[in-house]
Amino acid sequence: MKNSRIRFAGEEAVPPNTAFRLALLILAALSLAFTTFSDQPVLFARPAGWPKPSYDFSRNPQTAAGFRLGRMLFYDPALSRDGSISCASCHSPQSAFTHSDHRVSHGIEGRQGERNAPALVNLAWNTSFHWDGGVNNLEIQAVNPVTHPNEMDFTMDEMVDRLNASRAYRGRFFRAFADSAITGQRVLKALAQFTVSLQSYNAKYDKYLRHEAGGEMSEPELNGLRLFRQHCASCHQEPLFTNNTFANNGLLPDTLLRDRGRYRITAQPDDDYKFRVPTLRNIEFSAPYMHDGRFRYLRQTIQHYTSGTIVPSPTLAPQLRQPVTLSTAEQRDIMLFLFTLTDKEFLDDARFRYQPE
Amino acid sequence: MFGAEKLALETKAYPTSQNGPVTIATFRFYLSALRLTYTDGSTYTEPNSFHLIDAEIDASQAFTLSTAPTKPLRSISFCVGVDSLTNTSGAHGGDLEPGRGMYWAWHSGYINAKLEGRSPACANPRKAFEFHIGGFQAPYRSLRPVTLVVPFGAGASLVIRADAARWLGQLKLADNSSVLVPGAAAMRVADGYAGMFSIGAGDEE
Repeated sequence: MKNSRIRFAGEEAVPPNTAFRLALLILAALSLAFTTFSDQPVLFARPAGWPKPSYDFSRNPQTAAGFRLGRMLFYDPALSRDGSISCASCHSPQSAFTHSDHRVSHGIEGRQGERNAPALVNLAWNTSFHWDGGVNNLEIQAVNPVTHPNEMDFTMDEMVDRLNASRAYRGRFFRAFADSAITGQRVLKALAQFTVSLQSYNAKYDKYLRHEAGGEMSEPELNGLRLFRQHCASCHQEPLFTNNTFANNGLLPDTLLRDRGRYRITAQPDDDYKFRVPTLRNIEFSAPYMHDGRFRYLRQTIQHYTSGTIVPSPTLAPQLRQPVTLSTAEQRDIMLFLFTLTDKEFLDDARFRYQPE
Repeated sequence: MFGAEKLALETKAYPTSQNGPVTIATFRFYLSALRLTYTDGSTYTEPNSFHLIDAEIDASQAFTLSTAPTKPLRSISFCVGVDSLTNTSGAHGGDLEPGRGMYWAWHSGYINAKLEGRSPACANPRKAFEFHIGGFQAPYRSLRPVTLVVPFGAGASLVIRADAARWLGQLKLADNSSVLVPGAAAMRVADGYAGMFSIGAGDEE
């Protein structure tokens, strides 16, 4: 209905010499445009020059209704057993879809997990999910937080029963899947339609590469980019700022958590203490850092690689076997470059935020 | 089934030769990729063929192939478990819903078959055994193909017996009473479920 009203305003002939009425009309159209903008779906688009996504869209074609349903589910605490935790509790848009100020996140009843909640961004290119890569498909990932005792502590069947009891949800599932029966599969597919849309490719860095306005890099930022490409980019590969592999980056293992990372999944000694190479996009807002969230500040993360604290071990990344030495000024420049990966258009995009339904 | 009789869960201890009296709590497996071969050489492949067979749920133990031609059968083949493409291609519905207790969330993949119960032979305080058998990546693919020859003169209704006693007969519970992850041990247990099937007499069930 709102859309048709916008069209009506646009088609209406403007009477001559009625500037006041014209201004009112424009104002009305603007306010309508504003209220409808955040209700618009965001459908996946592959940025020019980026690799082919890993996610198979043909098995879950995106629709506006599917995106909106996924967003509604993402922000709904009904997905947790006691109705207290939503996906967004630990993946908040304000903090690049991760959990700011939390080394590890807490699920229902304040139960703590063991790993730092990752930023949800550019997920269509992930070849696996979780710090240990144990999950092989975006759609199936959400089973983990829903069922993990330290997170939502629910069962898929009970969650589906709860949603099926909601008339509003049945209507939305009908719009998304042409069938009002709510199933675990449809919940997962709808969530994936939303999360796969969380794309960030409009940071200053991107605009710099595209020679666009807003992409003007300072000398220190450009020096940071040069140093980054020299010392960091073999793992944090552009444009995704990850190479989708797992690496031991020489952190001292936490003797309480005893988290051996990828080894948990593969049981291969070669994978001991290896964790996902995370993307660095929006890193300014995704603190704390590392798989266990041990670093609160970005400078600590850079210092880890440059101040001789790397712990030698048989599985240590070969790139880190020779110490990386960077001056304080160089470290600062790398940090300034990393800030150019902040994508305000993405972080502030109202279409990804909670919408009162 | 357990041997010659219909399996009763929890309530009955079945005597066995190498594992002592055994009580079964869970007996559940995926039957997939069903294919019929007729005596005239033609075949029928069931589309989207995934059936979760659960000893606890009677309705799961029978299904109809509504589009299959009714001609004399030579053999029937299927797999125990879920193929690797299905294991990697996202969220599935029906019997493949991930809420059926047959899916590993933390390490994506279907559990092909589950066998749980109790036996005094088990070397643990609860005297319990649990086998959650899955794994779809080389070298630990636990999907197992089964082909059964159909006896001459079988009718349009065919009974396939899945005998938990035969599966258990391949396991020595005193040595190993728990396999819960893909790997070499799961591969050995999977060989056991591949051999538990037979064609039943037409008057059963």
